[in-house]
Amino acid sequence: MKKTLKSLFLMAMLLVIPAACKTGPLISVDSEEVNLGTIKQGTKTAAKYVFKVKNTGDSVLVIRDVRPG
Amino acid sequence: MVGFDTTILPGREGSITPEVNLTKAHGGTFSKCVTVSSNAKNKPEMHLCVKMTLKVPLAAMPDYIQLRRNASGKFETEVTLSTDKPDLAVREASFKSTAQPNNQNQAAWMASLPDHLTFTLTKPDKPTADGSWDYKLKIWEEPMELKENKFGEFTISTNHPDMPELKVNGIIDASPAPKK
Repeated sequence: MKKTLKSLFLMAMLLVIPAACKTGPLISVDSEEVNLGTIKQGTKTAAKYVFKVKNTGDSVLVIRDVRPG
Repeated sequence: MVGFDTTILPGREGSITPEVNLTKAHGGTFSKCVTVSSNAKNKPEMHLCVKMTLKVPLAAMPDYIQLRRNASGKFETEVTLSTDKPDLAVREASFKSTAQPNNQNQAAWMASLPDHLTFTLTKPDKPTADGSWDYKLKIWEEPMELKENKFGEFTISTNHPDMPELKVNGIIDASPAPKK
């Protein structure tokens, strides 16, 4: 009985320890708001900006959707 | 419109590229934001914003043109063109209906639409306090038969290098002329 409990405890630890170390996917970006300054209308039809997004976690980051607003 | 990478491996970088359409944007300072939904543990929803100040080289006020019958039956309106250019010239003013013709009469009417509207441009004596020139543009069209309002786009062609064509939404109003 005591042996069974001990092995159960060990098995539980084996499952818990890696889970505790895992952070999952984490998203990070240098700045969430950028200022493009003054743009003269007519010189370009659209303003584009590339946000560099880093996954600082330890599993795959999945971006499901990016929508206006 | 926005482009983005759908999966980013641990330790790697991806990009999210929002694009702001400037052709219909008004002048002034504004922000456009996108909401990024992901499986991130720290921020399942993240807001990314792009801020900018748009300087308009040429703007129409009001920004919706309404051509209305005057007492003599002509369709007319007056628009203020605000610009940084002290020697503005208007080459052409035209109207294009955005409606899809759904019968022969409508198609015939649209074909009979004048390509070119008549106009006069009056230069102000002096610029405004903020240095812009407010020109008065009077647009008119000879009397014609018109049973229903026509929605469409006015195009004002100018000599402004940054805005050779100013497009303004508007209407040709079918309401009867006001009584004298």
